[in-house]
Amino acid sequence: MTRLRNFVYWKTAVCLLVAGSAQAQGNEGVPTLSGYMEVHLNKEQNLPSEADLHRFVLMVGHSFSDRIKFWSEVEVEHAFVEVEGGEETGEVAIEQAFVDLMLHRRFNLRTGMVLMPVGIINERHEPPTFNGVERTMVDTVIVPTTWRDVGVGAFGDLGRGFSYRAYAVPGLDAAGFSAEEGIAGGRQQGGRADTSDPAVTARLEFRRAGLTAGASLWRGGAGFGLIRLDIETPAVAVSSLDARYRRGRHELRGQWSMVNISGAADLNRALQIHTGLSPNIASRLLGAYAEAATRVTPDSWTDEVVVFGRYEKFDTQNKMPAGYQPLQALQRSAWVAGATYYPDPDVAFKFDFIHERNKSSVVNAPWRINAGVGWWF
Amino acid sequence: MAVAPSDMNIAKSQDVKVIRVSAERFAFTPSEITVEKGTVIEFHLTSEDTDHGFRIIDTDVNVRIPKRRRGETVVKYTADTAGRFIIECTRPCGAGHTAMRAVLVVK
Repeated sequence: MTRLRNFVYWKTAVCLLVAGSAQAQGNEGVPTLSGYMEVHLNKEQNLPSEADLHRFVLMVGHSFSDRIKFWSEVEVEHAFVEVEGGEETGEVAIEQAFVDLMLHRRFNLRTGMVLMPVGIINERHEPPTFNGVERTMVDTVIVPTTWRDVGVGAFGDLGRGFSYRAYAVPGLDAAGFSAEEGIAGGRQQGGRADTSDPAVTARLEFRRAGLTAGASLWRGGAGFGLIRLDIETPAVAVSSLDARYRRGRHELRGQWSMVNISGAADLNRALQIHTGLSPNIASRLLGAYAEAATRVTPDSWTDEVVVFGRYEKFDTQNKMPAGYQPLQALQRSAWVAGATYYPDPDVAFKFDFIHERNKSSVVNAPWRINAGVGWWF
Repeated sequence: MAVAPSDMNIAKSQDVKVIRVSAERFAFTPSEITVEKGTVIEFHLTSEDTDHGFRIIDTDVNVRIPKRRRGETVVKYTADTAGRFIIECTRPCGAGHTAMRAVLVVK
């Protein structure tokens, strides 16, 4: 355990030194260093409060030329990695590491570890870019951010405000799906990922005068880990629509995301035989949120205070396969209210209160209070 | 040819086309700018979030755009060569930084 922790510190330190020295030169053609960090204080009803260095992320980029670019993101979650009771306390991960070959405005190639272009947060998750201490629940249990894998694909600007990204990536491992967190446990995350059930993902985005709207799709197989269970290969389709609109001091944003899992009944039966417990995986997961935010500080101030309110629905048991009943405690929604103080556009002090509800008459959803600071450099 | 703000008087005898460009992770708006050859362009560059770079490849325009509500960068460029010029962000700004591009079309 100590060796693993030392490895993390050592690797982070080397990364800092190498990239930091390159940044100091400040010349085109040498690596650049940037990154973001988030420190949180979370209090959940009936649980002790927790202080957490949630994310420490360094990004290293390099331009080989005007046509060939490299970008990477190395993340340490929860400060260190240690195995306690069979579970890791944190995570060290490469979240991005890709090379872009810029060919034409409308068509460029990208390969390496890429982010799935689904929803708002997965590709745009620097802490000052969103309200709330933690990411939305929709972007946690419906769209499992940070969702990434090794892939190859294309991206470009189609003109008139439209742009796109499209990749081929390895599929999901349905053996990791769960009732509570949906497909999150099935992500392969680019480590010796099995490619026998490939997937495709794409996003079309439109931008104009304060409006950004996007439609995203992920579709692929998820059965490579179940071959010996002799069932129909489950397949997953993720659909998502999102929009952000900003006018003056006001901003509205919303997202609707749906996950369909075909063959969920067979999957539940097969996993029950294998593990002795039915995971109660749904055939449809549904999430949506709407958020309104406004800057309350005067225009003459460079410091900014933004207040926001958000309603979220995140139902990981939205539609069950025949013969299975939904766990009502997982049919959840939440009201979130909070504020963000920006002493600088790249530094965000955040506070929020979350009142969560569910459809269960037995299990009460807890309230949560969060405070935190996130910064980008 | 880029003209530094202190040398703007050089271009005053010509018609100046003011073009406002907003930068935000990970796009410039507008992402396509079309002008006639010989036009003197006065770019007014602002950001909706962090600071960004604004470089027109194959020209000497390469400036920094200040952060949100920290002012604007003004830079002049005489479009004296026809062609398509890629504009790119040169300041690392996040996951989509490498694809943060626009195009200047000089007819």
